Amino acid sequence: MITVQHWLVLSGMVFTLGLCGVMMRRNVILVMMSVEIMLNAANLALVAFNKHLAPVAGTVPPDGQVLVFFTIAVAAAEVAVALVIAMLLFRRLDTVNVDDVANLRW
Amino acid sequence: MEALVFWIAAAAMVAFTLLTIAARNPVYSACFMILSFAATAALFVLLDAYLIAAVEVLVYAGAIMVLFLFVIMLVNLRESEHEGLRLNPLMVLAAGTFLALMSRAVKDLGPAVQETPNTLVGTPGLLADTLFSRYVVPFEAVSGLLLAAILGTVVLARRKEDA
Amino acid sequence: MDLTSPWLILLLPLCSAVLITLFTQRSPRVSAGISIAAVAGAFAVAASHLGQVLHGENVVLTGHFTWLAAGGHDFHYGYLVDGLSMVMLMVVTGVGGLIHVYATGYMKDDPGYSRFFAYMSLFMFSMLGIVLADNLFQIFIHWELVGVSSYLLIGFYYRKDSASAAANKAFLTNRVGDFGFMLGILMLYYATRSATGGAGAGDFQAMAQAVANPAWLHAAVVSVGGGHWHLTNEHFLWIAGALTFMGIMGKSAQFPLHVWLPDAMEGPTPVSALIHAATMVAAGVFLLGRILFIYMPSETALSIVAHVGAFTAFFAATIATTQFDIKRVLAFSTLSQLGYMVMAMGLRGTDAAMFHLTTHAFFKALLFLGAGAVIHAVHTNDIREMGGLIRKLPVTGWMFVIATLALCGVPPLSGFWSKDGILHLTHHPPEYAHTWLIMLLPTITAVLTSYYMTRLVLLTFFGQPRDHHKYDHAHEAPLNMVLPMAVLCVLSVIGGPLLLGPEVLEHFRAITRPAGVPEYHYVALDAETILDALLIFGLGAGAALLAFGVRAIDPDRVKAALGPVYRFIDNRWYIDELYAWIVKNVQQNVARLCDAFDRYVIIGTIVNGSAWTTRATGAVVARFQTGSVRAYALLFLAGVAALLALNL
Repeated sequence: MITVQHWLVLSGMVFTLGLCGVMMRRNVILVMMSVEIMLNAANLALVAFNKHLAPVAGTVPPDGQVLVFFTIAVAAAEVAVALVIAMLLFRRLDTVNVDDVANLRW
Repeated sequence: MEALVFWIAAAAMVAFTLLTIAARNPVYSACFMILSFAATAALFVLLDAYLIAAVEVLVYAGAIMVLFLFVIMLVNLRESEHEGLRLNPLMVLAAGTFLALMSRAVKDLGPAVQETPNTLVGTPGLLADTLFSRYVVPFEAVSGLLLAAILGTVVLARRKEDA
Repeated sequence: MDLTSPWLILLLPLCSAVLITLFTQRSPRVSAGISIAAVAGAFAVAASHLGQVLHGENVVLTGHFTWLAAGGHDFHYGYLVDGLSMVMLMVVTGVGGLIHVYATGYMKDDPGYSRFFAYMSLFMFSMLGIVLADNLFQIFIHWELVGVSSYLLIGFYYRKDSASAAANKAFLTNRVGDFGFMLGILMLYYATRSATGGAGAGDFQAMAQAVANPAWLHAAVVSVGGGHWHLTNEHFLWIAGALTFMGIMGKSAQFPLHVWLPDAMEGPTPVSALIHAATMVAAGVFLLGRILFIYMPSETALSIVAHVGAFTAFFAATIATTQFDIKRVLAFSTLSQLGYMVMAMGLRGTDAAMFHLTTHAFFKALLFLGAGAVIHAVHTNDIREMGGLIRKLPVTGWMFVIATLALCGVPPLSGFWSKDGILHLTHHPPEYAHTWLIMLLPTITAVLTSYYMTRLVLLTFFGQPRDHHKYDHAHEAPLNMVLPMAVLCVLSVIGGPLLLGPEVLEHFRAITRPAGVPEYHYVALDAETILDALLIFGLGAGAALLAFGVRAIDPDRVKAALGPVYRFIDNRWYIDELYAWIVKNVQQNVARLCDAFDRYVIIGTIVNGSAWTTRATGAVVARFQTGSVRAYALLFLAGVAALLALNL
């Protein structure tokens, strides 16, 4: 029997993997991909909850799915702009290593 | 039957994600990520979210990952500059702790997922009903957001010479 | 507004001061006119009530308004016109007015002419405020105002270092006295507050009534040892009295707060005449008269007052015998006479003291004005450069002589009546004052007074001129200086019978006059008293004549023979040096200690410490800002995990 906990633990695992990617990779593009992974995991959790909170009879209100819809749209926009910035950074500093942009240090 | 699909798809998703973050070559990472999204789409179908599954493939795997691939190609790293995952124990510990806490949090969440009758749930029609009635304002806002993102991208990516 | 309202007495000089300061600084004649008009007006208003006070029984005029009512304390500003203040009013406005007129001549051609009259008007306002005050707090305010006026006037020639130093000295010495004064006032107010009911703060009449009540006197303020010993209101009263006396010592220049008066001669001579002879220094005596009811229950307090006065009189007289500056001699003479007045108050003789205050105002003012005329004529203060001036300034000279005789108590001049009244008190004192200090010294002091005044007169006006250049240029004073002196001279002569005659003195009593103050013993014009007075005068004057007149005794040989004694006296008993030593060693070291405390403990620890702590904390916290995105992500994660853990 697949309970909602299964889904949520799965979602958590993928989220954690994405987290590890953010923390441990040095290529800025890879970091952004890891962020996408995290967003994706969150979407999964949202849809799982949607199914979980559904009533027994009648139609299922798809609010969770609508939220996922929005999340995907926003993620797309954000990725576009973020990649442009990464590219500009590459043009300027000739590196995509995230450790090389530590200018905002004390 | 469903449980089987779940386990296979779940395993695939986790495996591919792991490979994404661990691969040396960024192009390999991108490819693994696409596969990961495919698995996710399968999982969405399992959850009766048909439109979302389709959108996942179309937008995420189709558009976003293409964008990523473009940029990776643009950067054009040489083989020598490929570095992979460097395991930092502190970070692994933190992530592990986080996962443990999360799991602990969702431990007692109530009865199992209901088995719904085979009505078509996450269909475009149903989604559209909700989207354009209760969520019409966020809908319009998101369209504005997309416009802003497009403009921003175009402006930012210009070189000084093309005025 | 009622033209005879006592408020005008205060308002006129105040308006004069303000007007002159703001508008007429460029017009000296107008300034003088305004100032004199104000004093004359005040005199007129005061005089209009004279008849009332003289012929009535215990007539009192009062009026006040509340200028501050806060937390159950009502502070009034008002006036109290009774016999005591009537005397002072006439003296202050009368003598003051005459001196104002004199000053128009003396200060002529001085660039600060208008400024002078502005200050004089300010002084008149301040002094009259003391005289008219109906409560202790108002007196204190005007007490300080008078101090300020005195400071401004002593330091009138501000470009001279010695003058500004003298002004500072006067103000600071007064401040020391006022510290005690304030404490005394507060103690008195605290003690009598509940007993005075709803009257204003420190109101004299209310306080006098409260103090007269024996039940109040023995009520305990503090009980020690479970009722074994009480600090009663009586004890409180005498401590408060002693503290208040500090203020009087400062203002009336009693020992040991006398040091400012000789130096105050740096001011222009009219100032010396008005402030430091006739009025301001007499304020202390006046105050004593007002608040004698505080001292009455305690013989200790009265004894202190009397002994301090007696000692001051003697002390100052000794120093006066060695001085060569004409104004300094007169200054020490004033100190001495003030000592007499304070002593008389201490011996419960308010009438005698006030009488002497009045006559002293007449002849001392005259002496100073005469000295001013002399200085104006020969342009020096040093009597060693004078001599034989009686031939060049006959009018001034003979008036000076008459004033001297009055001061020495020669009958039938005014000084005889008042001084002998006091001397009589010292020969028959109350029990607590049966000391040789009281019974013997004042008489010796009187002999000394005759001696040094005669010496002064002889050296200044008689004999051969010692500086011919100065002598040749000397000329008599102009009319506007001579006339006021003439008026004062007449008063010095007839002052005795004038005040005693129609039993005027009986009416010059304080409303707060406590029970137990004896009636004034009018000096009977009998042979014994007259002979005593003449004997005293003869001894002193005779000695002076021998030394300086006919040169039978050589003063220089006497000086050499006395050696160290003479030096001790000549250096004013080294009191100034003692104070300088105390300031340099004690005060400065205390100040250094405080400075060190401030610098190391307060600034070092607290101020700098808090700054250092802030900076150190900041430095530690700033280490988190590495600029590395990954580190930030890790921190994020740690934070979220912590939150989760907390909420599980």
